[in-house]
Amino acid sequence: MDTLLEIKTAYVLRVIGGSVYLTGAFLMVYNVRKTVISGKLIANEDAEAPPLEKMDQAKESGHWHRWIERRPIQMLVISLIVVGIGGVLEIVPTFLVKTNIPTISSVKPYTPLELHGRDIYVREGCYTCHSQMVRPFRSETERYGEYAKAGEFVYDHPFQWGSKRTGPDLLRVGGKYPDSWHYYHMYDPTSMSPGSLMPPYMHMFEDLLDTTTTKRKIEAMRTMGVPYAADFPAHANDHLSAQQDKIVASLKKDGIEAQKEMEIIAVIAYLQRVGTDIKAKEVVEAKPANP
Amino acid sequence: MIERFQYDNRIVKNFLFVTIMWGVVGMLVGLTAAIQLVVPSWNFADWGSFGRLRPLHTNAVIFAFVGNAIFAGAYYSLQRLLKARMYSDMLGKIHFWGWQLIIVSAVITLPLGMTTGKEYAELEWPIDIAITLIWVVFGINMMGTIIKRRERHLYVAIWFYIATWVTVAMLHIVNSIELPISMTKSYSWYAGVQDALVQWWYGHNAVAFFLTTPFLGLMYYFLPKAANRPVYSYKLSIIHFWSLIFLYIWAGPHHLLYSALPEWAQSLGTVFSIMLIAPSWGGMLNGLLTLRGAWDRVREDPVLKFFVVAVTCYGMATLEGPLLSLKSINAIAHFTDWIIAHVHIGGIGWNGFMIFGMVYWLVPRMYGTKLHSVKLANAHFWLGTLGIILYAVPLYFAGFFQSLMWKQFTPDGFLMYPNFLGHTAGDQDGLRTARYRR
Repeated sequence: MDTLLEIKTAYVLRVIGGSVYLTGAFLMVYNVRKTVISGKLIANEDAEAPPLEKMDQAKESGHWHRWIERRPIQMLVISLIVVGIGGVLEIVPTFLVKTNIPTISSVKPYTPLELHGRDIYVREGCYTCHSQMVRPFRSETERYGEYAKAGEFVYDHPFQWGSKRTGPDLLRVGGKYPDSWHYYHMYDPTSMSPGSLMPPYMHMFEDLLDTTTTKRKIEAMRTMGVPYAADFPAHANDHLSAQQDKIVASLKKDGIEAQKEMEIIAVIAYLQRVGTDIKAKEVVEAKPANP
Repeated sequence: MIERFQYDNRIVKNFLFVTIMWGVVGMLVGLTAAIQLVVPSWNFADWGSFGRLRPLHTNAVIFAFVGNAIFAGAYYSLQRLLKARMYSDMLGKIHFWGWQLIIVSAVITLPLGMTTGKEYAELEWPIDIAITLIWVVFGINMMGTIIKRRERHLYVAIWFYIATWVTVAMLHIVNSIELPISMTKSYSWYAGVQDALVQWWYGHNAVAFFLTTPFLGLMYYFLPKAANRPVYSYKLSIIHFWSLIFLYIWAGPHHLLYSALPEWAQSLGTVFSIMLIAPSWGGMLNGLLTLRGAWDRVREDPVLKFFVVAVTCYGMATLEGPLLSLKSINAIAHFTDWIIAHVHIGGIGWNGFMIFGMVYWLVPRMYGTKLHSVKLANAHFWLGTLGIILYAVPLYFAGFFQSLMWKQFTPDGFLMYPNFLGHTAGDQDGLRTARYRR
């Protein structure tokens, strides 16, 4: 538990630092209040100035930059051009040049249940503590698995790479643990990972999945180019129901009686899917070699 | 011929007071989130868990605390620098109440889990549209004031305001393109790598054009005013303004080093981030050197004290930023608490202290009185400074050592700490899990 202990001390000091800073702010609130009471707001402050001199009367001499300082509209337009250059040159090629994001044929769209699970993942702000981006270092591939490829994320609206690891990376969590592990872990993280800082997500066991939005969600994905079949949105909930049954059955094998409509079932479906598509390809390729 | 007119202080006062109020709220939420990382049982409800409060904290601090401060400072300084009342009192009111309404809707929707899942752009699409509209109102009010000005030349602070306005508009609109499926849920139009690039182009430049350029504008007005000195160098302000806004926009990909983003984009991000040191420090030096000959007053005036530490924090954060963009350093610091320390040097050091200095300078002036207690303001300064140090230093250490432990191998070539929580090799996957798997 060395790292956690070390981090915990720092986290306690951080709380103290934040409290001290906030105490200062409260002093300011008091001080401002007292100052306001002792005076009276000058709502309209008198001022005087000569009217704007005509452009040709304004001195043309001086620094060359004075030219634009007299012209606010030009200032605005030129600023937009100056900031536009960098954005255009970085973003446009990433969208237009195909080789920037090589496609991987084994990467498939999420199933309806996984998509719902992913939306819950987004809703709960899992990305605030978990990344989905294994970097190409040996320390990371050893710990998490294969490093991330650009083509793996083509159906991720939005991307969930994250920026902070208070918990471990989750890109390769799919298939790492049995369904029942996730079931227990989401209910009480410390039951599976003693010392974990992760909060429990009990409400996922009480709240039922809203499947009325399934069709709209799949249709939206299709609009954005995710290749679901044209007739799929109409049947999406059948597919969803079948996958729920599968997970419920797998949980039952481990002695868990779960209700298929619970949100946790969708979350498990998503977590078991994340980052597994490139593994699927390996399996397919391995088959002919080992009949 | 002399024209008589009146400056509108009421709108400045309104923005300034909500700045203080939202500042306290935003910091309280941050403190709650910080406590949750020590005592997990503080995740008191589904709507109050860390994953939902953290976006509330960042949005409250950036858009409510810092945002309202920008408007307060800009409305005050624009009128004086342009020798004109704001273009329209009505637009000012719409701007004020509209922005507060946006904040309130954020306070309600984020804990309810209505989020786009993109950092600092979490608010859902109806609020995104409201932000765009109110931002346009602000723009019309600002440009209208500029058009009816009585001073021909625009002062450097106003260059920064203009660039801020136009760039934030661009960033917000492009990054918020999303496909709604209901009033409270939408999907980002972009996917995967492209979404990541657009998001960090936005995210990084939210730092640049919401937390930096408008505050440089405020610095250029309030620091010389408080010090009663002219700005150190006019030429420096020209060079650092244009180079800062040009270079900043390229730096986004430094948030995605070693990721699946194409290599060339990562390299561009690194190169431009390193070049950013020059204009950033140009701004810092122009601020600090404005105080030449006035340093004796820094000792007595709490306003100047706040400004000096703020500008120094800006200098430290903008030196550290480019260093963190070097791939070798980023490999260690990314994903750790190092980054949290870094952003708080910027947030509570640069932005927070600039705001506090501004408050202590503005309130007595607008109320025609003296500050109630200089002593208390000094106490605030020292508590704030101590708070910054106590906050940042432990997290720098934590981030650094945590990262080293993540990367440590045994002599046999296995991870020294295979379990993320830090159990050493031997109890491979944590006690209970190991037992469970058997």
